[in-house]
Amino acid sequence: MRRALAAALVCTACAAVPQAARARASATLEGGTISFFADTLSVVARDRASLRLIDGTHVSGDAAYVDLKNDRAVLAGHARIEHGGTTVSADAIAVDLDANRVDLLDVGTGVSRTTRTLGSPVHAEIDAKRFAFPDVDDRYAFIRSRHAAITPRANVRFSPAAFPTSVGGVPVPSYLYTFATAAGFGQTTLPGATFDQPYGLIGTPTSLTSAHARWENNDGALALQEQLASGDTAYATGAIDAPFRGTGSSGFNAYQRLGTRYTFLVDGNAAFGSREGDATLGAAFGTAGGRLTYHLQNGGYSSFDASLRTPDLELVGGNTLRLTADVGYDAQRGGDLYPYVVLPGGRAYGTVWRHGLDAFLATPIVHGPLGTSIGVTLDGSRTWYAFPRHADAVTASANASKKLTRNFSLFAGYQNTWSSQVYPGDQSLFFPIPSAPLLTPDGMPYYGWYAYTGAAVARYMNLDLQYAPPTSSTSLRLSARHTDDFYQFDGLGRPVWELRLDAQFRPFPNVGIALGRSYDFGWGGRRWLPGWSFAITP
Amino acid sequence: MMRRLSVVLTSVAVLILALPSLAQPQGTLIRFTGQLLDVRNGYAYFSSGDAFKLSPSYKVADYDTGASTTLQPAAKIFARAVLDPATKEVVELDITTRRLPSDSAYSTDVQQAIATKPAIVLAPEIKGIPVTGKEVAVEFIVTVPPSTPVNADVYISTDAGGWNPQEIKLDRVEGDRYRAVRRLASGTRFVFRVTRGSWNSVEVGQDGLEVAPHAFFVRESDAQSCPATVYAWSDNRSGAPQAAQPGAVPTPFNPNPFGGNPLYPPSRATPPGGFPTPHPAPPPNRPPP
Repeated sequence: MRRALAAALVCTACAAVPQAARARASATLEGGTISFFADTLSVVARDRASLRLIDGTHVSGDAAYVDLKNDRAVLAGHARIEHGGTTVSADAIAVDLDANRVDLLDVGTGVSRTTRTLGSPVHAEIDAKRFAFPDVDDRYAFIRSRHAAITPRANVRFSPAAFPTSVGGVPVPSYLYTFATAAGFGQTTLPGATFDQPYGLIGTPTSLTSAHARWENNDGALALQEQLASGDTAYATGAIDAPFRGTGSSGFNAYQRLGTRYTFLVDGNAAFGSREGDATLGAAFGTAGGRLTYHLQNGGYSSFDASLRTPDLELVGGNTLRLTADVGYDAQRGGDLYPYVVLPGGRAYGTVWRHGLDAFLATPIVHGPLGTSIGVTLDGSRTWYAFPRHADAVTASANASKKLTRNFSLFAGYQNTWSSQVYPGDQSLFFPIPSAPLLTPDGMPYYGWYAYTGAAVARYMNLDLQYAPPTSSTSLRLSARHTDDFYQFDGLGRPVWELRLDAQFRPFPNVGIALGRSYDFGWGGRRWLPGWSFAITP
Repeated sequence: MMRRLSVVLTSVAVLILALPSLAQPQGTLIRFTGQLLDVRNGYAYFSSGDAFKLSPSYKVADYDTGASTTLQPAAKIFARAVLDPATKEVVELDITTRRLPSDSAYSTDVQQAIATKPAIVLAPEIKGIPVTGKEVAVEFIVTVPPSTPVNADVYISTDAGGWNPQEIKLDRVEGDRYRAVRRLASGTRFVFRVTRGSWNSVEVGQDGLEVAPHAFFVRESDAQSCPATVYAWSDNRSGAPQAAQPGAVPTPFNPNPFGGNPLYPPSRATPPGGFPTPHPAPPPNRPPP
């Protein structure tokens, strides 16, 4: 408990840091109704709109349109602009939110241009983009409010905020919507959840502190996340999830692009008493690449990998080949490195080096008769260890498709993965016949385990029938999936058969619904197991 | 009984919600691509069974360059027919000997309702094209690399959607192509990345490093296409032999051979009240004597 509290305090302290550097809202918009459209990033105010800029400029009109992507505003109908005791009226006024330019439109005399100090206007040609006021339908607004505080290129805070088209959207006294474009804001270290509703607390063009209301592991949870981003070249993210619960977790990651050739990524996470972290240096040499990765986890285990990858080499017929070489080690502090710990002198194995080679071959998508197409991949790898041991893996996959009609398509896929652990001369030592049958988590003995001597296979095949009209966002997909794995037993592993029906449709222009019904057969000792999936999409 | 009733009611509610989107307009054909069967008597016949009337002054052009070509439209030649939505006649036939995938593009019914000339003619002194915010059918087409898993779902994540990695789910249209159609207001501007549902599996560049997001802007048009190509996925380590970590290799000495492996989902198959047999102690992590 004390640990969780300390973690929460640290996270709160970190979250408070960017507040000091928070960008001040440079414009506030008020009106009888304010509608926000998330797709076009625009705000429309009606019933006497009033826009106040940070330098004291006040613009008013019957209605206002603010283009957040381009930092411009248009106030139309009995428009007035005031600055330092000077007032100018026009039929429409266009202003920049973070620049000095002001355009005045008078239906009788045309356009004149001035600055926020409202000096002598000069005649100018009409720029349609400056005065564009889209005829939007307020019914489709994402947020409805009466007051909006705008920070250019960062966020807009609505107070209060109602969500007329969002299913389950509860009105709140204040809501921060972030539209900073840095892709680093997409990074998260929060684990997956059935439901996650972020709520922005503090935002700047380069940072965002948010609280998350979550539903995970059949329980509600709160999470706090801090994101820092610098364009698309650097980001850092930290989060703590469910700090006051025994199943809480925390994590961080940071990324920096080092010029055109190199990237550096470091991340770490802690959950359920386990802690681990990675540091990776990625490099590109044309379309070839390399990677250095160091991995560390509690208990004293660490590993290192250095790999080099060729570009996709063009072969005859459009086939491509990619080769990768890897060298590295596995290490256990104090010895007893797994799985060598089973040897009588297991403690001697603290670090074992290895090297490996991988080949990935892919065919192009080949179009066959009757509208069919097929693509095949083959991936094989072998890793040699300093200890007499090697590990092999071969994966073959193929997928085929056929367009039945304009709206219906058929897809089939097959994947077979075979892997093997080989200890020359010591196979029976590492894979002995168990003296007693392995008992699975449901308490049943698994006699097939006797057959496992290091080689495993996973086979997967699917057949999907899809209805997807090309001009509609509605789609239906019926899938039958079959797995045939060794080892697999009674609910341990992938279900042997699975039948799914997925539907996607949009009952409203800005709300989509994804609904799924699945049946797993021959799994968990049960004849079949039904399941639902449901998601609301923007 | 109540359970069945609730299932029926839920299904009816879902069906009612789905009806408006199922009834969306199909639009007018504006482009059709396929293999020619014949061109005769003023019609172009395709091997798919489709036939289109040729405009009296239709143009034959090279598919790749758009320039005039010496190649003649004939059987087995692949062609893209460009139709005039007003007359529904082929005004251009772009031909090639290279195999082309069957495809068709449609305008929307919105287009049919729009006058062929703008209702308001801008004064000559007005420059620029205003963004009216009208609805535009936007088709996202994403080509994925061969290393994409056979059962992968592909999504588009945008800055406008808060970088939700599952924001727009794409439908598969071919082995390596996915597509989604959205109706967006003109003037919509965003950047996006392609994901496989999480930020651990996001697109990377040909060099394996992170790429800048794709920029996209909805123009003042009736329909728009947005193609994107994914060269590789960030979690694609097929080219790197994997190191074995503790517990990753299942041996009889591993106390938990089935647990902790992402291949095996959590035991949601556990019946209510748990299994009848108590969980036994795991086998010891020691070699046999």
